[in-house]
Amino acid sequence: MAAPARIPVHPVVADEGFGLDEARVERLVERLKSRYCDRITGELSIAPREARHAPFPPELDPSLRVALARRGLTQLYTPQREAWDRIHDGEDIVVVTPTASGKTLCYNLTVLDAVRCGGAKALYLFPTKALAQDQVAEINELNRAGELGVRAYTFDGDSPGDARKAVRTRGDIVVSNPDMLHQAILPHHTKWAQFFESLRYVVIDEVHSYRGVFGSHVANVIRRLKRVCAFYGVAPRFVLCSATIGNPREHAEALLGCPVHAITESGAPSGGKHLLLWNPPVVNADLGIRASARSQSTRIARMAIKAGFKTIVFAQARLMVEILTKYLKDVFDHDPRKPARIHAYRGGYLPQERRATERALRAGEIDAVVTTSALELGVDIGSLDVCVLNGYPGSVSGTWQRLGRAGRRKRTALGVLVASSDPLDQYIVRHPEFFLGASPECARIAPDQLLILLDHIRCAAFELPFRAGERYGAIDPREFLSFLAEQGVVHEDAGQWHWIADSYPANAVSLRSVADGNFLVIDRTDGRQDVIAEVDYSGAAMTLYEGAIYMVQSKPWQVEKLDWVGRKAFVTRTTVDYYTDAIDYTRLKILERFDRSVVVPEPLEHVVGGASAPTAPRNIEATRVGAEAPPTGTSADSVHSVAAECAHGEVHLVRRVTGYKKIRYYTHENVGYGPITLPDQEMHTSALWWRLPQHVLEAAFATRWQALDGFLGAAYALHTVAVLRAMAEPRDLGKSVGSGDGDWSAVVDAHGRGSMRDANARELLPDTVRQFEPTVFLYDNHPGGTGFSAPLFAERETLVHEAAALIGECACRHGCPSCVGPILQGDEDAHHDARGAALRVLALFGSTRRAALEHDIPYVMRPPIAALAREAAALPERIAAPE
Amino acid sequence: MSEALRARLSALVRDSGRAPGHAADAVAETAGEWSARIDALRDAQRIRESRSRAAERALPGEEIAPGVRVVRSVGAAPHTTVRGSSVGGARAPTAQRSIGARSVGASAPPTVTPEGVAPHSPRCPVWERERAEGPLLFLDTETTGLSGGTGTLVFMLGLARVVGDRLEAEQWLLTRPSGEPAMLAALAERVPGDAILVSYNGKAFDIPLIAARHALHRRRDPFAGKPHFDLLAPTRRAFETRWPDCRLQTAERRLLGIERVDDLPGAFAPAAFTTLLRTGDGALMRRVLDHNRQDLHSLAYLIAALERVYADPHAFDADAAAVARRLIANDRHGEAEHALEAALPSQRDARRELARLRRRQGRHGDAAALWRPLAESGCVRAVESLAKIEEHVYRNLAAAQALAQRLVALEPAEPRHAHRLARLERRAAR
Repeated sequence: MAAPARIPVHPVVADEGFGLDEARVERLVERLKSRYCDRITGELSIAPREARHAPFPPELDPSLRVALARRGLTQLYTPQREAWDRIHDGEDIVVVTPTASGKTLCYNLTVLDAVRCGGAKALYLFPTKALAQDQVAEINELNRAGELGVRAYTFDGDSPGDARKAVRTRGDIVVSNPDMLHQAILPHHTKWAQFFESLRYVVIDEVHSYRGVFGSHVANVIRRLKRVCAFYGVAPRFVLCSATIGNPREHAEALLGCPVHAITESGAPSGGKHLLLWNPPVVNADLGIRASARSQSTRIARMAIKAGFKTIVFAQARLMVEILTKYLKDVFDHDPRKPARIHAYRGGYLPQERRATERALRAGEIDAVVTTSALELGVDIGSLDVCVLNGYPGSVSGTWQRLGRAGRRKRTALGVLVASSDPLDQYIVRHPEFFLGASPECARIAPDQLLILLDHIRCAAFELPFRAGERYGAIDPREFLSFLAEQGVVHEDAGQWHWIADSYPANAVSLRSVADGNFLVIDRTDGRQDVIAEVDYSGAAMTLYEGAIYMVQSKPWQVEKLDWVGRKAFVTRTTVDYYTDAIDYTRLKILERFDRSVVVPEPLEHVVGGASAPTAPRNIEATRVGAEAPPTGTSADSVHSVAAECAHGEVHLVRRVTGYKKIRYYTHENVGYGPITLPDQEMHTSALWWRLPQHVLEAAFATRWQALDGFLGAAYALHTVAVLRAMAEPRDLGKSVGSGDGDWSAVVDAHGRGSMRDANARELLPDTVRQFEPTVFLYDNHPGGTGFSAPLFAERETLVHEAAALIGECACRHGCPSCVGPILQGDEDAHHDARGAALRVLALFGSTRRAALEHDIPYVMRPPIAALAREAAALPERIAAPE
Repeated sequence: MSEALRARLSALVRDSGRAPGHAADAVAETAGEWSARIDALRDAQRIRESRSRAAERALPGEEIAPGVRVVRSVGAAPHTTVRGSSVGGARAPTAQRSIGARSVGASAPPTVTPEGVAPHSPRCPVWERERAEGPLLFLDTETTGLSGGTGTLVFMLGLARVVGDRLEAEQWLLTRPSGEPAMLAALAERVPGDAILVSYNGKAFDIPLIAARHALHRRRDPFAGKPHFDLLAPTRRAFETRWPDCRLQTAERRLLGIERVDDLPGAFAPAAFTTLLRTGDGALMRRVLDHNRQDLHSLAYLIAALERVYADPHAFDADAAAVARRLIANDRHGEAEHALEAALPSQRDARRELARLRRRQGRHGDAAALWRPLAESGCVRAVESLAKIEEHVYRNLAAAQALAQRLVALEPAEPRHAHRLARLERRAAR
């Protein structure tokens, strides 16, 4: 949204209407700091920034200049002018700007000018329909202001059939989303011939959201778009916009497959900003239990609203939005005769309801809004004073985007990040330097992931025949086309590969997942036949087993029947007081090492000896290991025999879901168990792993049980920090402990103890295994991998250090969900110290000696901790789906 | 391709939950449909093998360019028997006649002969809103799929025109995908500038696909902007409430008395094309040619048959009310009245429709006479219409009041009726 263009709409007078001044935000900060100094673990101040202006380009269309002037705009911010200049030099660009800094004018200026003067057409892509509609509304306002006559239309799944033709033939600017481009526009490009022949600009906004699997798909849709453009003899310029991420240029280049110029300096003015990291107080020192984030967020929001600040509260789950809204309404909206001061805003609300809240926010009519990530993207809501994050959003850049919602041009804003007991959250607040000093995460995509590539080469072959020698992106598609020819999908004739199958491949490819074959969830309550949800293939086994409680908007349905072949789950409404959690055993078998390093752990220096003994305290040496050259030879063997191995490569995964637990709400007691019979899930994917030779383990641990606990705890902590490092969704990155040959796997059982299972999910005793070499795996949780494991391998040392720090600095005694995972009720005489064991394992993986010494806690027997166990049981599963 | 990549791709495709092979490409295909298709393919193969003569494998017609053949034919459609004589609106039962392997009962509805085609062809059918004149060009395509999009190939395009009392058909056939530009070029010369297209569902399916093929090859589409009589719409209007479906073959069977013998179902057309590409065996493709030619012939019969249906829907057990609504919309009131009057004895909807027409024409007495029997059998709308006529036209408040009481009794929950009764009672009290 172009902030300067909004000046007449949101007069700064609104700020002064409340008679607020800068000092009062400072005063709130001071009050919070003096009253709750023990809860504030970190603080950051950002100085205000002055605007930097640039004149309009002289050649700008005069009518457009008039239209902008009528909207109060007589000059540009520097990035807007730089964008114009770069685009006119023929460059593709990516513009990185915070919310409300005039980003849309970076592209609208050029596009509207080209439409007016050159009859050009433009395609805009936004990740959501709501953002697309906002954009069209904004262009139309400008249109009206200057009678520009530019026709901008949305094109999405809601566009009626007769309107679509008008959009295709008359639209100057078509505003759509990647899914529509993929499924409706490109496969029918001949209907769009007129549009493509004049296509000069492609604008892709919010590109930071195109990462991971989704981003990998989008990169391929862009390859297909470029291919179709080439057919119509055009090569449009691309203008990308992104929220702040660590690698905007690299990410844009990965998406577009060509060099991109990045504009990263913001020219818009901004007020100063305070940020506080907040850890709820410990309420039970013995058990290490903290007050809930919810109670803290409510308290902070209450203070802010009472002091007269416009406040936004972000929650992770829809259910939490409702709870926080209720608590705030109980304080501020108890008089039903007055208009509501507190609104909730989240996915699942009707569009008109959401629009009404957006309008009320822009107009300053409400005092606080409680929301989910639904308001994180560029929806225009004006600016607010205080932003409370109830829980860490999962990424540094996501946190800054949400915090960006608070902050007016000339006023200081306050953001408070309240940690929950989630391990990520606890890591963040205990390491303020990590968060405050961290550059935002890098967005990663893997557009050449084999399955994704195959899907899109299929779609591309449908759209236009492949010519001999034609490249697809940087790929030579010949082998893929041969594969498709063998399947009878394409046919080679006279140097071209023609699509001959009776199908529409884009329908079978969803951009939001790797595998197709989504499961439909069908509500059969009272004879209905309504589809209430769609679950992707990889999630079906864990969520749609018979007996499962499946939740939509926190309303529970029970799965009655799962038709695995037909990809359908039949559910009925229910009113149970529990939710269900599947128990699965995941075995991995290492197929191929792409890269490998050996770690000679410090505490075992004396074991090494001989020629291969390192002179440095630690020796981490990466060895490129190709498939044709397996690690042979004396030095590698001998090092391997005494050292930990960290490697990444391809693995075969077998997952068996054996049963599920019923867990009661609020108390989180385990109230039952049910069996699940489903086919094994198998996939090939990429992973990185750490393993230790048996004799090293035997030297370090008294029993194999202890070693197993150590591996499970280490895996938990490594997963936590890896998710943080990789900017991954936790479910996109899996973790597992097992033997590297797929013979057995280990999990934490219902009693909080490590337990080994063989290939048939039968319990196995560690001492009965001939070869005991547990391995910690972190794997890409999608067939074919999604590109996380290679960058994580590159950061393997950091991961081990941070995992050790996470555990070492935890306030608990034996382990808790914030460090090594839930430690449940063990038997009385178990020598069970998961923290110590995990730290020992991490030390063997190469964490520093100092960390090991400082935090290695001797094995002592502790009584079981029932209360902690109950608290912990609640944590692995978030009750409502985050948006 | 490299074995390693092939193995990897196969494994990944399997892991990702897809069905094996290219079944994943299929749009909404169930396992059942697949097994039915495979069975039918086996059947087809058996037939092919039993006749495994080279001639059967070869394609008819001449090759006009590499990868393009044209098959020309004149006269009756193959493998069909047409039953019945000219019907001329009479409800003459046809003699039982053996058709192919099947026998048709004497109670079958009347059918239309192809002789009707020629004299009717230059005239614009009564159901068309736009008037157009010119030679009729019957059109039907066979494609590699039904889903549309640029990947759907038109591998066969049949055109037919009436010459004298005969139907001349030309069918272009691609034997290789690379022949498409030559096919489109040859085709363009055979579409007269003033031609009127006649198809079955061609507006939604064939014409957009043909347009896409021309766009892909940067050629002008000779069919673009031509007047187009799509026979699906008038067929659906007349028979939607009468037939289980309105597919062309249903219309053939029920209206034209055509039973196809040894016809290859349209769903096998894609397989015929891929078989030809892979093996050069044209046996299945010959049958697709036959199928396509039959479609063209059926179009020619069907347009004549529909003319008669629209002249006297009752005689063909068509929905007279629906037909009449269309005729009225096209300002053909005379034809509409005629159609409705013929259907009066047996179609309640026709009676209702005619009553409405009479009321619009101001012939209230005629309208009331039509509504009365309906009202007696408890039709609410008829009672209501009569009440309106009694109240507003004849000003017979007592009769109107009695009818209003009946309305309230029939539909006690409807406030409209209660209002009417209350108003009439007020007026009566004054």
